[in-house]
Amino acid sequence: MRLYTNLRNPRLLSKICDSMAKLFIFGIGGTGSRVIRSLTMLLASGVKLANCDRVVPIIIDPDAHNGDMNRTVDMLKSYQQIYQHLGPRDDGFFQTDVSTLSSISADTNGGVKDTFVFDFGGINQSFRQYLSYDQLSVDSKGLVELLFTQDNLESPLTIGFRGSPNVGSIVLNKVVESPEIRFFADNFQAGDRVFFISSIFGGTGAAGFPLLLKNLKDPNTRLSNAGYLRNALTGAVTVMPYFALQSEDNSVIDSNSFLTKTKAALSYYEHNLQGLDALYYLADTPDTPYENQPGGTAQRNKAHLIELLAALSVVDFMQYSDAELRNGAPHFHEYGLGTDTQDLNFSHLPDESRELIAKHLTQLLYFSRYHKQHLPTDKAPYHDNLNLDHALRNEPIFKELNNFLHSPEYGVDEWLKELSQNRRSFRPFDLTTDDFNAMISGKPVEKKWNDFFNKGLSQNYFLNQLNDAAKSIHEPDSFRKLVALFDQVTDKAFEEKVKVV
Amino acid sequence: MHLTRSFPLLPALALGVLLSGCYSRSDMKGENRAAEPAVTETVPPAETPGAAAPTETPAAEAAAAPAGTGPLAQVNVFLEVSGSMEGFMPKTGADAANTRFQQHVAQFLSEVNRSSAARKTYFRIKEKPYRDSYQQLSQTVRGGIQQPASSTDIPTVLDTLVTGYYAPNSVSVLISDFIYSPKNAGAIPYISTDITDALNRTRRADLAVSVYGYASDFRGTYYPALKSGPKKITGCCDTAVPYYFWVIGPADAVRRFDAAQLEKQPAQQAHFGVKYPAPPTSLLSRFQNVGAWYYGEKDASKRTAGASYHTVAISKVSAKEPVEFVVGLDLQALPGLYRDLNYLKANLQLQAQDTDAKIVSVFGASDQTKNSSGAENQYTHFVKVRVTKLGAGARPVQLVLRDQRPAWVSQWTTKNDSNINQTGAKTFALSSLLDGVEAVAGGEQKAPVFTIPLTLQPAD
Amino acid sequence: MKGFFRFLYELIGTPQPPSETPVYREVIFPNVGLLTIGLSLAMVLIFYYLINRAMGVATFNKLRHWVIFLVINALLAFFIGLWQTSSQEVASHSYVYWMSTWNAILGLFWFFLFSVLLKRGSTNASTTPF
Repeated sequence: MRLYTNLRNPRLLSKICDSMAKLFIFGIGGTGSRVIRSLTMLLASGVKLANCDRVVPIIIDPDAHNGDMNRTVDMLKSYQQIYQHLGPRDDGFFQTDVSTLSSISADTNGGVKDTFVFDFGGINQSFRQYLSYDQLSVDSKGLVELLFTQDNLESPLTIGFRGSPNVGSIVLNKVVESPEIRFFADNFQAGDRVFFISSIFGGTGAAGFPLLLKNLKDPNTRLSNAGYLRNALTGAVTVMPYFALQSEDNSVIDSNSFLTKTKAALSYYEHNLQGLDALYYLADTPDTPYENQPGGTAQRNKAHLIELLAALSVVDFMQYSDAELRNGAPHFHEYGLGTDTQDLNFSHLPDESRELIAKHLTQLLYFSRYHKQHLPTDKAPYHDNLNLDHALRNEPIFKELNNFLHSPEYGVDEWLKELSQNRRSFRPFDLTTDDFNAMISGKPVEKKWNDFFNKGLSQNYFLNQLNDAAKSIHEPDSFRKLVALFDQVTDKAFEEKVKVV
Repeated sequence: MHLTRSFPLLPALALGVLLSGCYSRSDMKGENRAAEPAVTETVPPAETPGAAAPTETPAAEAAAAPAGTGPLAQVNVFLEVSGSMEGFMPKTGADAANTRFQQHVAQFLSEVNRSSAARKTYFRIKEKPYRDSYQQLSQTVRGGIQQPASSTDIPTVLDTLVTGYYAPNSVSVLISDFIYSPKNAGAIPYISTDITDALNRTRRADLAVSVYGYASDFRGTYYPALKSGPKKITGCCDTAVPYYFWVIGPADAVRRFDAAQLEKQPAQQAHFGVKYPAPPTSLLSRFQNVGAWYYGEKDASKRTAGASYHTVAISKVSAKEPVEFVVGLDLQALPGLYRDLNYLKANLQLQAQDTDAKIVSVFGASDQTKNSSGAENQYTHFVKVRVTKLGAGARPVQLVLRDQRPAWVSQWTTKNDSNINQTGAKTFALSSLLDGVEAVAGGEQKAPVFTIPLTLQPAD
Repeated sequence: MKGFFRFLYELIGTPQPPSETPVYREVIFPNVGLLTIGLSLAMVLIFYYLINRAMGVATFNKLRHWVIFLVINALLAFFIGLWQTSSQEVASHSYVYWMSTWNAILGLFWFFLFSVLLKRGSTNASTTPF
C-alpha cells in the first residue's frame, strides 16, 4: 500500500522541499529540449532518479518559437499539473517532482516567471544591433568583422544562433546577469546537483554549455552561494552529430559542417572545461536527413534514440553517490549498444539499460494503450468507483492526463511512434496491434494452457486486476486512485505475464 | 372316545325319548315321553378350557383369545328332530328330490366339520340332546329323522344350551323351525318372557345370539303352533316354510363363527348381543369431495399408506358453497345384515351438534371404486355427508349404525299359522321369540353396531 | 418457518383443490420455499463470486448478463414448483401452475435481494446491477 500525502499546494510543497536535494538541468538549444522530453517520458514511466527529490529543468533557447522547445514545455507543464495533483510518492508513474525554477522557493521576487524556459526577453534585434555595432570603436568593429560573417551580423536573434556558436557565445554571456540566474544562485543549496544537456554541433547548445559552466564555476562570480555552486556536483552530456539535414542551397545550416564543428568544440573542451565531475558523450552515424529547418516552429525533429540515451545519462549521473563522483578525476562516459542494428528493441540494449527502463516503459505503454482503448468504454466496478464517466469528460486533471498520454504534439504515444520511425529506430513495441500480448517486440506473452479466462494479457485480465485493485486501494481522490490502480496493475501484468524482457 | 361311549347307550336314549315328556310339544301324536334325566355322562358338557385334551388343536387356541382370533375351541351343532321338522327332511322318495333344507344343512354340517374349530360335536335334540357323530347327523338330515320327538320345548332347549353348552370360545348352533307352541292362548303374551327366562337362568354376561332365517320347501306334515285350529296339515306345504339357525354363545365366539361359517349363504339375519370391532373407516379427501375442506389431522401431510383420517377442517362453508365429504367404511367383517344397503340407509345416523351435517347418500363399492388407485379401493361402503353451516370451534360428530330389528322379522311373523299355505313363509310369534332374546342379549341400551367418531372444525 | 412460507405462498390464494391443503402447507410450501431461496442464493454466488471473482472473468458483469441469470433463476424456480408438486403427487389442478408462476416471481425477488446484499464482495460485478 502506498501512502499518499495530501500535498497539493505548491507553496506548502516547496516549504518542505527546501531541504531536499535538487537537480537543476540546463537544457540548451534544440537538443536540450528534446533530451528533456525523453527524460520526462522516463520520469513519467516511473524511472527513479536517485539522490534527488526534485528536478528543475531550465531550457535555454532564445528561439522562443522553437517547435521542439514549445513541445517540451507543453509536456512539462502537463507533467507538472499531474504531479501536483498526485503528490510525492515512493513509486509509480509521475513520481518525480518536476518543477519550474520559480517554484523552488516561496520568495520569488516577482522577477522570475513561473516557466521552464529561460526568458531571454525576446531579443528582437539583429546581432549587429545587439552588439550595438554602430557604437563600437573602429578597432572593435574590425575584430567583430574578423569573427563574424555579414550573415551572422545581419541575422535576427529571434530564432537562435542557427548553427553559429560564435554568435551564441556573445549573446549567452548575458544570461549570467539575468534575474533567473541570480534567483537560481540564491536558492542553490548544498547537495543540489547541476546537469547540462547540449549538442556539440549546433548553434545554441554548442555555445551555451561551456559559457554557462564557466560562469557558474567562476571563482570571482558575484552570484550568491558561490561556494555551493563551485562545489556542486556537475555533469553534462554532449551530443555529437546523430542526424543530418537535407541540404538546401540557401540554407544557413549545412549539416556537412557538423563534423568540423564537432572537432573544433571537442578540442576546446579538452582544455577548457573546468568544474565537471562527469561528462557523457553520445554520437551516431547519421541516416535519413531531417528537413532543413533552421529554427522556429517548424524545427520539430522526431524523437530519436540518442535523446533517450542522453536522458539515461542523467539517470546514470544521479545514481552515483556524492563520494563516488568526487573520487579522483572527472568521469567520462560513452555508450555502447548491446547489438548494433538499425531497428532496436529491448533485447538489443545492454543489460543495465534494459533493467533500468524496459519494465517502466512497458508499464507506461500498457497504461497509455489501455487508457486510450478501454478506459472510456469500460463498464466495471473500478470505473464506477472512480466515477470515470463523469471524470473523463469533465475533470480537468483527467483531460490533462489524456493530453500527456495521447496528444499528437507531445504525448507519450507520439513520442513512441517517433522513436520507432526514426533512423536508427527504437521499436521495443509493436504500436499497431491492439493485442496486449503482442505489444513487446520479440517477446510475445505466452498464453498458458490453464488460463481459461485470462488468456495472457487480455482486456479481461486487466479488468479483473483493475477491479480487484480498486477494492484494496483506499484513496478518496479518484485521479490519484486511477494512477495508483494502473501502477499496481501494470506492475502486476509485467511481473506475472511478461516476467522478463 | 365319546362316540364309542354313546353307541351302546342309544337304545337307552331311545327309551328315554319314548318316555320323556320334558320337551313338550304336547300336540304331537299324543306320545308321552318320560323325562329322562339327562344322561349327562354320555354327553359331556362343553369342555372347560383347561381340561380338554384334544390333540388336534394347540391349547393356546382352546383358551379364549380376548380379541377373537384363531379357530374356535368348540362348535356344537344341535338339530331339532321333532315331528314338525320331518317335513324338512323327507325320506328320499322315488324322485330323489331333496329339500333346500337338506341341501343347505348337509352342506353346513360338512363345512363345520371341515372348519378349523378344535372340537365339533353333533346332536339331535329332542327333549334333550342326543349325541351323534357327524355321519349320523348328516344321515339324519339326508335320510330323514329316525325317531322324531313328539315335541320340543324351545325355552327348555335354550336353557340347556346356555347352561350346559356355554363356554368361552365355543358356540352352539341350533337348527330348528322355532315354532313355539304355547299351551293355551293365555300363554301367548308370555312367549317372550319364557324365552328370556330360559336364556337368563344361567346368567351369562356375554351371551349373544345370532339368528339366521331361511326358507325351504316342506314336504310332510305341518303342525301349526296354535291349538285352536287344525292340529296338523298333511301333505304340506305349497309354500316354503322358514327354518332358523340360532348361534348361541359368548359374543365374541358367535361373531367369529358367523363370519366364518354363516356368511357364505344369503340369509335373513338378526343379531343380539354380538359385539363387532370398529370397522376400518376413513374420510376420503379425493373421492367425490366438494367444497373447501381438508384433513385436519396434524400429520395429514405425511400421507402414510394405510392412514385413516377422521377430522374435517373446513375453511369456508355456506349454503351456496356446501362441503361434502365421503366416509369410507370397510364392513366386510360385519355380517350381511349390516352390509345390506337398505339396512344401512335406514339405520346409519349422524349425531352432530351446532352444525347441520347430514347424510346425503349411502352407497356401496363398485368396480370403479375397487379398481381405482385412490384410498377408496379398500372400502366396501361409502357415506356421503353434506355440511352447510359450522360454528366456531371443533365439534365432534358421530356416524352411528343403529342396531334395529330388521324389517324381515315382522314380515316373517304371523299370529296364526294354521293356514300356512295361505299365510306364506312365516313363523308363529317370531317377533315375540326375538323380543325374548333381545331382552337378555343386548340389553336395553341397544348399543349401536358401530360408532365412528369424526370431528368437524374450522380450518386454521 | 412453515408459517412464513405458508403466508408467502398463500398470498395468491389458498391451495386448490382444498383437500390438498395439508400437503401444500406442511410439505410443499416449505420445500419449494427453501429450495427457491437456496437456488437464488446459489445463482447469486455463482454470478458474483464464482464467475466474477474466483474465475476472474471480467466481461460477464454487464446488466444484461445479470438479467440472464435473473431469468434463468426464475425459470428454475418455476420448475421447482412443478417438480415438488408432482413428486408429492398432488391432485392435478391449474393451481399448480399458478403456484409455480408465483414461485418464479418470488425467485426474481430473492435473486434481486441476494444480489443487493452480496454484490459488494464481488471483484468484477460489485456494481452490477447498480
